[in-house]
Amino acid sequence: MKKQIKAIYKKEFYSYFGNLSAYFIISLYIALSLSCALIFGNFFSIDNRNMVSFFRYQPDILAALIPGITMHLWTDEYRSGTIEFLLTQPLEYKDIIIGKYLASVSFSLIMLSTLIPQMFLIKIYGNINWLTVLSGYLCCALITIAFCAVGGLISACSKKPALAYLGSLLVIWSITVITPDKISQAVSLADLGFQENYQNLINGKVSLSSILYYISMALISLWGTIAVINNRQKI
Amino acid sequence: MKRKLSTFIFFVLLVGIFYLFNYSMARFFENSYVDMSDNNRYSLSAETKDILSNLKDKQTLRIYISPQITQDYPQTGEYSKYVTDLAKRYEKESQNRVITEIIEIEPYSPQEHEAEQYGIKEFLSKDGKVNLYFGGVITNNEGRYITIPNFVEMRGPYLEYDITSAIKQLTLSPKLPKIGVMAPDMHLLLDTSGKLDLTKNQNIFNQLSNKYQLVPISDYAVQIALDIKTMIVVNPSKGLANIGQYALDQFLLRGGNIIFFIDSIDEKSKKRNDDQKISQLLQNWGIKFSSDNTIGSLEKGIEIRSNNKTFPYMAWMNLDKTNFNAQTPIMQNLTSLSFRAPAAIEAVSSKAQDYKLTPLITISGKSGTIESKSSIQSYKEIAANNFKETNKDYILAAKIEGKFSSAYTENIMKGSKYEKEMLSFLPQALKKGQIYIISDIDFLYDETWSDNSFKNKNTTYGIVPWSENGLLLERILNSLNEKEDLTTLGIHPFLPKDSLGTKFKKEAEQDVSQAKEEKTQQLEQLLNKAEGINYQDYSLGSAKQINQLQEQITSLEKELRYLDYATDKAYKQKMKIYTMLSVILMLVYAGFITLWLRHRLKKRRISQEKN
Repeated sequence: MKKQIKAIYKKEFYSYFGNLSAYFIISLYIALSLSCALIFGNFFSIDNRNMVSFFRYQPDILAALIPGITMHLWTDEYRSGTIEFLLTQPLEYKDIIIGKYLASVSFSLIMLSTLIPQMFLIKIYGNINWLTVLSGYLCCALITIAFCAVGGLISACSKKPALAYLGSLLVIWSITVITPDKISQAVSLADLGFQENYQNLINGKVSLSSILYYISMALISLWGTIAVINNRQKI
Repeated sequence: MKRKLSTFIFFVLLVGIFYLFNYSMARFFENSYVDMSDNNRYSLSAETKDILSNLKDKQTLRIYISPQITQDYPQTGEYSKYVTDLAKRYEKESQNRVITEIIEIEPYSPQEHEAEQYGIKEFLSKDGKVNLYFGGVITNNEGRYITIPNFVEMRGPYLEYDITSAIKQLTLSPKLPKIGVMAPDMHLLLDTSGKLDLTKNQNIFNQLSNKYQLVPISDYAVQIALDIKTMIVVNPSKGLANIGQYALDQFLLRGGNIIFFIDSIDEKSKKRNDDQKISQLLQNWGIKFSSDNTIGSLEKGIEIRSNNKTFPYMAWMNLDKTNFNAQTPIMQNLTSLSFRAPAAIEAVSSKAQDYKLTPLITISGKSGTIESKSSIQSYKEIAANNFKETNKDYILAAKIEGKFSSAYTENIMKGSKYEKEMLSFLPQALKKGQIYIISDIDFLYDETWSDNSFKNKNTTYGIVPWSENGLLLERILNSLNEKEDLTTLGIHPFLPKDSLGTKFKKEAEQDVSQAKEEKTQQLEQLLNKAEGINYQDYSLGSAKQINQLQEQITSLEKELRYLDYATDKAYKQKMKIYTMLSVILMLVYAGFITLWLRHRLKKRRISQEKN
């Protein structure tokens, strides 16, 4: 990793733990994951060797929480006026963007990792299908990577954190619910739906196209962020 | 304004690039995936790949599906994705020898007409306005085709088996091999025209009906037609006619194969099968069968409900891999077979040349016997109490092969008017013959191995098996009818569903089961006592006795209700404990990580301040 990216990454990453927001978001994630799995996910009445009760609601939970993680990425810089200072530093824009993005991804992945103890608890009490669970985790990690990039892009577009949160929430939620339909008998867009790719991965069908779907979402959002920051600098 | 427009165009472009890129990736990597699912359900087995690689002519696998299914029946819609995924896998693995076509059916379209002509079965949309379709057709170059009228989700584990068998079937002669079926009570299996009635609760014959021509043969037939290579003989110890036995003896010596389903009791009709006439024939083939006992296992016995009680019954068993001889191809990768009060078979010396008996299914360890006369009772609890643990090894199914000699010294119809029409008597085998013997006739019955409540059970592809009894019979027939490559073709069995809630409930019930049983017995005794009281005797003593009994009964009933309440409470308690453990573990983990990171943050600040 480049030294500049590393410096930005460390600053951003530790800033999450400098106040109570990290604890609040992680606690909220635990509460939401548990309540969705145990209450709405019928955890005790269905076979959970694939942790389906937990994975079923992860897109919705992450869609609600990741905007909270990414909303400050750029809005704080705009509000406090440090954006000009930051952008005049001997750093490339993309290094700043990548540093900030990696920090939000790392924090989100730490939040996601709180599900790991659950995996062992299920194993102690019953059976677990490690491979399918691994595929489910991979899927959640990919979603996190994609959502953080989208959240970062929306944060770069707005000056107020609340607006960034609501905007990210709306965009991410739209991504999760939009299911492209077929154009004709020969051309079907079903593979482009978020849920289609998500279901494939949590069912253990790990296809390259599904992985690329989330990675490309992240890369295109990062590209968008670079363009937005670049544009603001010109102004 | 211009800037806003260009920003808008930029974002539209981003979304466009995203969808275009993923559309091409989805097409390019359509069939490239790693299968990490339960039982590799997205992958084709080595046996299927082998059959596909040996295909000489092209075949087409068409999946007919109404798009509306996804909205009207989400679960079926979900299953349709799995079916289409697997169908595409056939195209890839066969290197385009099997072309997969997914045909979406709009109401009243030419595709709908085509699907109907192929025999795809329609079902109504949720609003009842249009017909929906979800089935498949496999066609070959000659125009022959096999239709799967509906893809039934519950039959999901058999999807690959059904498609591969159909593909294989189309490579073989269109003339189906004839299989003879003989039973002492043949009339029960026939319809009014004398044909096998496949609707009579016989899923097993239904399953075979599109791959074999099943020919009913009376046990009074003097001989078995030469174009029949395999006979299925059901329940011969119920009293198979002598002439039928002679016909089987001669059939085997001419190189025929016989599959026997023999048993000491018939659980369905609650009758014993102790006709000893068949013993001579069996002994001649090196098999000894005793009708005195049924076999059970403390390990493999299933829980049954009888007389309002649930208890483990040793003689009704779900056997698994540990009971199967995996050395023989037909038993390979089978996962479960269900037996109900089977008998045991033993190997005895035989005069046959190259005689070989291979056990296929055995039980050992914690095994035992129940007398047949006890097993036959409706009150299975009494039968269970009569279980005698012997810890012996018992053979429940075996394969016997060799060049047998006849159990007869001459044609038993010698001198009769039939003799001239019959083939000459054979004292010795012309060819090697094979006998498969399975010591349970309930093995065949629908309720032993399949979901009989399913509405489409009258079509082969509508049978919903929960045990592989039907598959085993089909494998035996395949091995005897030149379809060896289908012999080891397995299924993707659903893993047994075990929710934590069910586990907790069982544990909670187990905790109080002994106390509950004792109280129930006491209550039964008191109720019996109460029934014996002469209520017309109004003496003070008897009134006191009645009062005492009533009090005791009320108290016991209360205690039983309390035990139910306690079970429920214990079950909920277990769920609470799990939930608490989940919360604590996740919080401890999160706390540990965040505190560690906070500690690192502090250290970072200190070092920054120093610098």
